[in-house]
Amino acid sequence: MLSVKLHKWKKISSKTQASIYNKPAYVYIPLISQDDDNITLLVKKGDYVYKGSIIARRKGNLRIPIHSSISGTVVGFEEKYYQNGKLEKCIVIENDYKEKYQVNKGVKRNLTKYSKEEFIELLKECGVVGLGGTGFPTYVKYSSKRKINTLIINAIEAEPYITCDSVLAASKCEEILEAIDAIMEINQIPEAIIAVKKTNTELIHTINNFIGTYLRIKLVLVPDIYTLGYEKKLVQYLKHVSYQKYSMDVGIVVNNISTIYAIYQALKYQHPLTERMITFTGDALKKPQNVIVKNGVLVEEVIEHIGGYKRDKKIQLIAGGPMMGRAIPSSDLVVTSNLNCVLVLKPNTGKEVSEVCVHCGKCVEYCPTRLSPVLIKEHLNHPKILKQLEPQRCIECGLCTYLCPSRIKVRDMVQEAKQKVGGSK
Amino acid sequence: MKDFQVGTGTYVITEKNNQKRSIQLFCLLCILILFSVIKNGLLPYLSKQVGLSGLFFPILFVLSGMIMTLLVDLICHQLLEPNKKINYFHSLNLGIIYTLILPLYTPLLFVVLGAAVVIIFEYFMRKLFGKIYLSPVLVGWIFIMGLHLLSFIPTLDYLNPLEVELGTPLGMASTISDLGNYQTIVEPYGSLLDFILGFVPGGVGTTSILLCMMLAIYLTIKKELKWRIPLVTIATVFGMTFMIGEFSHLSLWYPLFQICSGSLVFGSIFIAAYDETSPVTPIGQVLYGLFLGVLIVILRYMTPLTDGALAAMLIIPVFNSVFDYIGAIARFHFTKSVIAFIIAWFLILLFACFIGIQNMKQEKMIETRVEQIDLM
Ligand code: SF4
Ligand code: SF4
Repeated sequence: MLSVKLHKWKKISSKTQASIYNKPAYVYIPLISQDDDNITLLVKKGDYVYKGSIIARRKGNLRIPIHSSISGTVVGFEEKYYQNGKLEKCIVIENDYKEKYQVNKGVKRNLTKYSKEEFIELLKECGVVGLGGTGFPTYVKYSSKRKINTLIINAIEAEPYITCDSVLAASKCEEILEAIDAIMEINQIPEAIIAVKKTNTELIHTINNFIGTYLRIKLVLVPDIYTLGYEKKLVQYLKHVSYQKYSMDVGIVVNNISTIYAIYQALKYQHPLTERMITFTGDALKKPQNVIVKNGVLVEEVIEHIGGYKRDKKIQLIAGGPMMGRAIPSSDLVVTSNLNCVLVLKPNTGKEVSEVCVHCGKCVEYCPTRLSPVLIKEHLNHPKILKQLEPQRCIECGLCTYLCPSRIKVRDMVQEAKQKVGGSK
Repeated sequence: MKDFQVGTGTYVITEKNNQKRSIQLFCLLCILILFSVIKNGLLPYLSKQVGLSGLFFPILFVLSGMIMTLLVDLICHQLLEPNKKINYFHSLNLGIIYTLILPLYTPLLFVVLGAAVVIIFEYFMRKLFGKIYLSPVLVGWIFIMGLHLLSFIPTLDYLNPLEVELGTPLGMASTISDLGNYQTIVEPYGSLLDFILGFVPGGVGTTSILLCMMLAIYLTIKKELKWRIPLVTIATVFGMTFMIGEFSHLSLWYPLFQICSGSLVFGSIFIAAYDETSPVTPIGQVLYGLFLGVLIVILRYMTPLTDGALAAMLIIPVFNSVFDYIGAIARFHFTKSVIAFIIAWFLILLFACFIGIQNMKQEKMIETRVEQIDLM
């Protein structure tokens, strides 16, 4: 299988200093977690909420609370765009600008003074989820009965344009290393690996400056290959093992480096995850940069805060990176923990119309999950053959669409096939 | 609130579209045209074998094919798909590849007619099946072969293709009752180096193995060639002809001669690995190469065809869907595929042994007859 380097466009957002946007008049907290809207609402109009108050809770196997990111009053419910491109019901909270926490929050604690059970409970109650874009509840990864042998910290940032992980990791390197050490101690993990792209010299330099005293934490430099950012591919590359569903099944936990910082905040101050660093970038923004933003803030406000748009017409707003993100029809998009990038672009795809497939085989050659996208596309109406082509393996990395010289939206077709054979995302 | 354009991702795409890929191939094919002009025009001119018209004839030959494919493409495009973007370099490339495989003394009228067939066939397949099942270039080539056969009719005074074939090394080898030896099949053309450099009779631009290999390596580095196809095809022909040669005590020069003669190398790179008529899955490509190699050997040793490479390349793509189907499933079972590949290779070599033994028996029979005649 071949690999593709997609390191371009990173500099656009990293050359400007990261900023903070923390004074929204209102926040809109969506009643959805990942793509699951099976949520119990815990507040009503008129209720006063503290910063970090649990205002809703996801039901089912992946139970996790949803917190208020400000202190203020619930003023109602409105529909806003969520990063899946759909309008979702949100709790609207008016900010009193007091940033008041309820109780016991902000008390410094020794990071290692937690039992494994307390640690898992803390991650759950603080709503720590994967910040690499998945939003998968982190506590689930540590709850496995299997012994964890390796903790992999993913600092690869696979997608083009996105730099929030690197910028956060470089500025909070000490805290992140302290958190990794604590996680290892609490969970009895013998080894931790921080995976960074060889080309990310700045981050490598910073980590090298601090890592000296942490003998069990290794910094591993990986080649600048797009699909290595995916958990399965990274585990395969670093540990030479493959697994079906969860890396925990083979005794490995993978956390994004920004997630580790969220764990630090939870362990040290018991702060729930209510804000994150997001990359606002793209050629249609005046001042692309990384911004620390509270959950529930409207993207439009942040864009205005950082200088607005360079051009107004014929632009696209993408929630997420350019490979896996989704175009959103309006700036009424809300910030959530799993939103790592807001990309505003002059559309460069779609300018060229799709041509007939020339059977170049690039989509097959490069697919990281060994699928044959072009054949899947050709057999969309042949359920029997489609099943044998196993479209459900697709991780939706978008490489097939990116590489197609005929400009065919191959991934969309594989997604369609996936639905036809009943595979989930 | 601001509104944005929507659309599905990815929101960045590679710069390499079909047009750019075609331009890249065009530039590489121009190198082969240049070689053909030097070999067929400049060198004979310098050695005073031909005059000025002979100097320019090779370029005129290639241009006539190229211009015709382009013209027919423009007409078909206007008639059938006026709203679609046209990729001029695609038809030019088809025109070049098509003319490069023809012998230089193909009448220009034939060249032009065949070039039209190439493009018309491509449109026909696309419109009818949405896919191209046979190489348009080879359909043009077979059309010309048909015209050559018609030329036996006394009113048409064109060259007989058999005369053309006899001039090529494989044609020469086919006139010898056994497998031949270095003196009888290589030395009349110089040495193996001449074969590698391409200064032997053959298609207009197909003879230089060195150039073809260099272009193939470049295309592979640029990730623009289904390299498994030429590699496996050539390796299969090499392996089989090596075994066949071993039974007649011919050394390594024999399989090398088989590879360097005819359109095998050029064809496997520019025709067999042509995107639209070759499998898309890596394992499918390996299977395709294996079958192609075996068929070439069968055609060369078991039928009156002297080269067989182009004919095999015309037939094998019909089975692409099967190769790809196996290839797509086998991708999930890599180890099993490798074992299957090794078994297939073993069987192929056994088959080569069978051909070798047949040849050996034939040689012995000829020897015995000669001895009997001598005794009489
Ligand atoms: S999007 Fe799916 S089918 Fe396409 S390359 Fe990625 S994994 Fe393969
Ligand atoms: S990359 Fe595009 S043109 Fe090439 S085989 Fe796949 S779908 Fe066809």
